[in-house]
Amino acid sequence: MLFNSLPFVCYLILTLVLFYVIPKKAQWPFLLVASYAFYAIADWRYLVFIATTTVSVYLVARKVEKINLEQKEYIKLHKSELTKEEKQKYKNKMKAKRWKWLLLCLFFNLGILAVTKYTNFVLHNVHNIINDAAEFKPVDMIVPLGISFYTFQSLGYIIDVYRGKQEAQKNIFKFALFVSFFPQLAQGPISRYGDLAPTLFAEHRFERKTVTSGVMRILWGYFKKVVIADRLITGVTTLIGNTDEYSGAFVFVAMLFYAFQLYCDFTGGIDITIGIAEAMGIKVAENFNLPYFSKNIKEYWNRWHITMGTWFTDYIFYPISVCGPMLKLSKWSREHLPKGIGKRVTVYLASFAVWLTTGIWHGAAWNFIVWGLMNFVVIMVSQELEPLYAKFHKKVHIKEKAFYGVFEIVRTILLMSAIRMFDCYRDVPMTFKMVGTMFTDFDFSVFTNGELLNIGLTTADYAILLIGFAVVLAVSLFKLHGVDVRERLYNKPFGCCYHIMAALQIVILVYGAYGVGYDPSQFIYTQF
Amino acid sequence: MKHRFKFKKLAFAALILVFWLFVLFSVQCLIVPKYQTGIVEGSMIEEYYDEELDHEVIMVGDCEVYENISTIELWKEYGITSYIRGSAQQLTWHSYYLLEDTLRYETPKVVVFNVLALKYNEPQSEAYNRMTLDGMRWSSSKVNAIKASMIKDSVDKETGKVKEGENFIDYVFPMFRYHSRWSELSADDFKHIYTKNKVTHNGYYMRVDSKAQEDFPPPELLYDYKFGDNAMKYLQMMTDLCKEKGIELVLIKAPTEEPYWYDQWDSQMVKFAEENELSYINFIPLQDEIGLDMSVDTYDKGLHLNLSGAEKFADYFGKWLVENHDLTDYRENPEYSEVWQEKVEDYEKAKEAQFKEIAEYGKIVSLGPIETKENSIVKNLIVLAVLAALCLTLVACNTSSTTEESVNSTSSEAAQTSETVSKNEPAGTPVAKNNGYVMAVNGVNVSIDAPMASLLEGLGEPTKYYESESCAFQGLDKVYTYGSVIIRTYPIDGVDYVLNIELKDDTVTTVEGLAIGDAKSKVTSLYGEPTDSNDSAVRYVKNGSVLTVFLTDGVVSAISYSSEDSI
Repeated sequence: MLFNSLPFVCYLILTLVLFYVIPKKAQWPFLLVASYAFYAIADWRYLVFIATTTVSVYLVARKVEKINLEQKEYIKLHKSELTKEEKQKYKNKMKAKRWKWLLLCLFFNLGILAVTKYTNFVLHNVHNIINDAAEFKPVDMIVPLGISFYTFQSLGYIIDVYRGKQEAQKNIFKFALFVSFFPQLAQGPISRYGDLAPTLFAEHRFERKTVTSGVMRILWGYFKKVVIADRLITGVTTLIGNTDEYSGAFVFVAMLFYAFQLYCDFTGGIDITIGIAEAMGIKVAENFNLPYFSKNIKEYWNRWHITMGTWFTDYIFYPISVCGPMLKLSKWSREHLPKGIGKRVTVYLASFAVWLTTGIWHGAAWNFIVWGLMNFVVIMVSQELEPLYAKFHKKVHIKEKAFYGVFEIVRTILLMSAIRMFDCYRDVPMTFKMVGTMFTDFDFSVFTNGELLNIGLTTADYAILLIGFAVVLAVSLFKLHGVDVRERLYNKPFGCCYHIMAALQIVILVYGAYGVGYDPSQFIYTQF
Repeated sequence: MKHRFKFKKLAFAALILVFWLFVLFSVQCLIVPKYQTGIVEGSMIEEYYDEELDHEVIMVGDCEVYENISTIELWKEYGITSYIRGSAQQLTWHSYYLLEDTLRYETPKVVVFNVLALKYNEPQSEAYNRMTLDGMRWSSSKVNAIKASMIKDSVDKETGKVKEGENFIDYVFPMFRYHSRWSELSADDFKHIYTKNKVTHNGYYMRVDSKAQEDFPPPELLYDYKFGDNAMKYLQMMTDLCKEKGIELVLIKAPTEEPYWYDQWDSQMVKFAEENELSYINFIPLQDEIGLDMSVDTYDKGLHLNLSGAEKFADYFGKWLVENHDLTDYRENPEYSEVWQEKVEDYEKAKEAQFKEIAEYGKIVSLGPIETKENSIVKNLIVLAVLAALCLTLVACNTSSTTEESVNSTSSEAAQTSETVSKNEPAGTPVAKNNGYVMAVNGVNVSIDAPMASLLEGLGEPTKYYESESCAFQGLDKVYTYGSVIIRTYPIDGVDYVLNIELKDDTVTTVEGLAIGDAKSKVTSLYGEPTDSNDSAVRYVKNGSVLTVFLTDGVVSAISYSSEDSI
């Protein structure tokens, strides 16, 4: 049941109505049933996987918390009897116990993720290495919907419980809802238990403003996904799929189209997710903050897929940075390497691990790994060149000028879009080759000779895309200047927001790229 | 006071809801095809519901009914009140459910069904489904008709891609199906947003022009001449329904010779009629008796009758109906006479208008509505303007739409034709069955579903060529003869694809080396065990293509190539 399918829309309407009709106490259990039903409709076998993760993480979290409490109790009881060393020894012993449980849980769940998602990738590479003449036949594996999202969300929870930052949930059904909450199951965001739980399990009474605001955001998400992203698919697929025919300037067009498509696809999906939750009074973490207004790649990653970025920072970057061997290495490098470099070695190593994992998380293919590492390289290089930039800006005073800000934004968009071509072509050498043609074979006449009308997009499609782009840009600019468009519309007289919503709905129905002649497309991030 | 405020709020919310539902409805009305010029068949079914009086004769069927029998002539000559519930490529189950639908409104004395549609056992085309079904009023009959007709999802064996079928919901909300027409809207769409003009005369579609019949190509060889179970099931249901309602069912085969009506099919109809005590008349051998002169009584080289032919056939068939059934001459009935007089006048006007166009342009250029009573762009624009004004008052938003009046022309017809067909055909154009069986003709490998244009140069000049308006598709069916090989094509979106290939005599052999006159054992030695066989043929299926070898007394008597889709 794709978000952009009619059955899902019907399912959603029914769920929303029932959510407010049933007694408030039954709201969260109802959501659990609705979430499991949603998952079962996709494929009932998926339930086995999500239930396994839920039960294993729940039990280990309870166990870890029990050890925590045991430790606290013991220390409280024997406070006067224990020496400092004995206390530390006891703490270390208990920590090791918790650590064992945590490791067990991490290995078990990451194992499930690795086996389901990466078996074929590993086998294929082994097959290539041993140079087997026979054609590689992939193993028919079930890859449960959203497994990367719910696994990471659950592991974030167990790590927080391990660190004592989060109390373990005692009710397994509540925890099951946290793992399986259906709007965010397919493509995130990766919520933290502490952020989601308070409103997820609370009782919600129908409030017109909340529901209106949520529905408005859902419609906005559908507009971006169905009218813009799905319309662009045709062009992008044609340009990417015919590498012999479309090189040079066409690669540039494909690059920009894909950047816009991915933005509308992913942010549209997240808008739908957050909108659904909001309509039920549930707060889900924001995942985007105007990423295409970023002035450098580091800022971009602070604004794009925020929940994933912070997850990797909190649960991979920091633990690696402060682990024993890294601290030793840090000490060594500071002593033996030049001043500036020595300080940064461990940071870069931790960053490397983060970006490698980010690449692997996105997909079981080399193109994703290279894509992740390319991000790492660009960030590292730009950080290393920072003193040079500073010197330049000291001499040339353009940093405060408005045009330079625009230049930085455009530069970041182009850079990010270029790196994303690995995701597009899904073939590393081919990506390098095609990106290269942008510099060796760029023909400007492509923009005027009508060839862009032969890629499956008509003049009318371009007109819709142009208008769509203008609307998205306008809304983004409002947001940039601190204007909450939905709030403003809601406060306008004569039910203005309802008219806008109805009009938007008709726009989606009429101008949406769906039905016969269009391939039903799932959200790109659902595949990760 | 509080209650009044609450009521006001509720009323306002209701007003907003009603207003936007109306806008949504209007947008849907705007976006659906109107079938008012060019392809008008999509307008035929809904016209029935405007009928004021009952009919004694109801005819159901495809173009062999609605183009071949003048209902007005039946009235003029015999006072028979009749209506044709027919549409393009109306299949047997369409006809059954349309009859069921009709019987909700009236119970005629006689129902006439044209049997050519029995040749189709499965749903054929979404475009034709929609032309028939969209016009039906909602009822259990329409629901069942849709269920029986929908094209199912299928997997293309060659590409492995799923060809999208039809969805029931698209019939409930046509906007889901037709929304992509937004960029192709014409003046017609605005003009007929809420109301349509009639395109038939009690279901009869008039054409006064004339194009003499030519020699038809030899009939296609069939692997199995038995009508399909599904088609026969609906014929039986139609028979039972008529018996249950005390209606006499008459089975006819219209007097036109193409598409070919095989003797084997005729025998099955004779048998069915006997078993069910029905009348069955094959009018093809009665052409002379009817008085048809196919050099003047057809407008498309013999496929369908023109007005002159349809009136001659109505005269003959009407006489038979009056003689064999207890029909009333309503011409003396003032109520009927007044209503039918108006129909006759419209009929005469339309006839005159068509003749005038032929005199002026040499052909009919406006295959459009026959009435122009209440529709105008101005009127519909006024409605839209009122809507826009209401919208303005409510939200201070501006909505407007402008359209230009346009005259019907051949170019606009062509535009609507391609628009309607391209948007109605399920996604996916045919893919040549290159990995299937191929036949080498003049050194060119011809495969089923290959675009014919790519082969023509290599094939050279055909020894014989025939083309005719396609009954199953929009465009021309073409038959190319290259010595002893016949290649038939079918059109989709203006492109001709190879439909089948037939070997006529023993001067040619298949790529594998089989020729007419070879023994059955050679077939097996060349092709192995057949996929299936019957008394007179063996069939081999390979990657979506089918090779059929016809056998007479253990010797190959004919060879044909076709698509697996046609099985």
